[in-house]
Amino acid sequence: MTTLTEERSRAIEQSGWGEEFHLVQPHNLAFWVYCLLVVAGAYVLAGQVSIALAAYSGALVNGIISFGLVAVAYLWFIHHEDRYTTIPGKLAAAGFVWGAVAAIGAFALLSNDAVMSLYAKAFGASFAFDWGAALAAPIDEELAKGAGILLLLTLAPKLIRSPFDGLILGAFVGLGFQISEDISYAWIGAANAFGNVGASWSTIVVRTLASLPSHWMYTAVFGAGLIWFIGRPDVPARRGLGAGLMLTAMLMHGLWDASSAIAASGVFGWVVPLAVAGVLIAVFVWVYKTSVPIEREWMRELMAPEVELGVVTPAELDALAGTRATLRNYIRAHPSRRTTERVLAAETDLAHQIARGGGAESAAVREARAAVAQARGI
Amino acid sequence: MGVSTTVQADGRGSSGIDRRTIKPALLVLGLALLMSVVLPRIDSATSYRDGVRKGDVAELADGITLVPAPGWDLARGALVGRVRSAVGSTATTELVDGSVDLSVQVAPFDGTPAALLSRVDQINAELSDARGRAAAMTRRYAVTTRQGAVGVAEDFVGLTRQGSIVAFVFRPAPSAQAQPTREGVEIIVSGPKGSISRRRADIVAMIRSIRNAP
Repeated sequence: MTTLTEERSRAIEQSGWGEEFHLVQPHNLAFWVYCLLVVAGAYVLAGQVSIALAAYSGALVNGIISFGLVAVAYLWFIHHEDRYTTIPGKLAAAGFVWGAVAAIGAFALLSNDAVMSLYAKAFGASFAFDWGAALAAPIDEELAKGAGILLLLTLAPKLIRSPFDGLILGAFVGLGFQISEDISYAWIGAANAFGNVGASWSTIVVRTLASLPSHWMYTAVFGAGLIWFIGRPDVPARRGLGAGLMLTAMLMHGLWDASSAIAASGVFGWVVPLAVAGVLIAVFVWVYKTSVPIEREWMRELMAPEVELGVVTPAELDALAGTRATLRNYIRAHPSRRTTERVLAAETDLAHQIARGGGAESAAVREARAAVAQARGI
Repeated sequence: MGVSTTVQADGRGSSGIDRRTIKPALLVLGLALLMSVVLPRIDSATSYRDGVRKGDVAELADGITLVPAPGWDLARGALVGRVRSAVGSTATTELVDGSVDLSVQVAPFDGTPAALLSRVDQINAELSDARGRAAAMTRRYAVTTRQGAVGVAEDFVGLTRQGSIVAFVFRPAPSAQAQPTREGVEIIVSGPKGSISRRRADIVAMIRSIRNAP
């Protein structure tokens, strides 16, 4: 076995790339807890939905359609950014469902109400009015979503191998939570306005505009932090960094929720949420850039033998395993961009086939190599 | 060729459950119980520390106020001069005293008090149909605040609770906004029959105290 082939095998083993995800694992207690809490969450949410259907069905439909479209846009974006050792669709779906159903129904709805009420009882309703949401939701909701990442890590330990996986899985969990919460806010907006369906549109517009620095981003940062805190076989635990990121996600969430109280209805009330959004996006980008190199390295090690075989050129490998800017520059440098993109897409598919086959030669791998040649027009 | 990612059976105990999965799964289950069962129970068992005092004024929405009866607890809402955030034009306020609850919802509403009450009745009827619970309603009667605003009210009697629904619509001050909208105010008072009767004077005083600031 050549060194390159050994490195390929190691990359497949370390990254878990090509592994399938099976949710149904009767011998894994995490499976039963996942199912129990999703069912409990669905039961609680069903009570809410029955109210919405009875009296605010127009607003509910508006919310489902509008935020369904928002969900599609973010799902595409997250999948687009997860371009190396991609999280399997079933795992991403399990994360989304946890966020949308269990984290809200079995955790956040009841605990947020209880904690807000306790703040009102202990410190007065005016204190709870200003600070209740900011002191309740970041803790309750980040822990509820983070619990899902921990369960899925227990269900798929070979698939979640790096903080980058935590970042991507966290984004899916957070997005599920965000969309479910957004839909409920749409009909609650109408309920608070005496059933005026038009009120749901202002909620939809505001929450769509504020969807960037929101749950998908908080939980992405929290998820990366959780994986750094726990550590993985090839990524040593960095407890300080991990705890710091999880606390940062909570802090940013809290500052966002406290924006209006901090700004105190001043002229520059928009400065606080804008500053929070800026810091959160900067943290997210930093976590992305810090956690992604191992994914790139795995891609490089997986595809290096293909360079030796002459299937992939060294420049194409640099583009495949490089940053988004490297990829973009590589494509722009070629006169026929469409052909270049087709070749790179075929090579990405080849990488997936090699990973799925565990590095072995197979009919699927040979077909994928032929597809690369075909994309070149050979 | 796909490889299963299930945890291997070599860690299984006699129950058939992989021991390595027990700790994280129980941690999550414990967190769920803490958040969805324990915290709500602590909340139910906790009473308000600081009741409404004489001179306190609740801000129902931007420019609309109510004077709560001393001794009642403000469960939700804002007291004038005690909050940093803007209350806005859509807001909820809730006052409780024992088993009696007085909740106020304010939101833009372009119609008469009677139309608002009809809208509220329609929503309540739809919700009652869905829940299989209905309440008998009395005929409507007029309610006037000390400021002179005239609203419409009706009483209801359910299986365990009874109470009243009152609706007002306030016109905004001419200088309030470029395109002023009217604010609808819905007040629902509910509680066990005897408890409501004992607090009748407080309830009437609070409803009559509602003011729309010029």
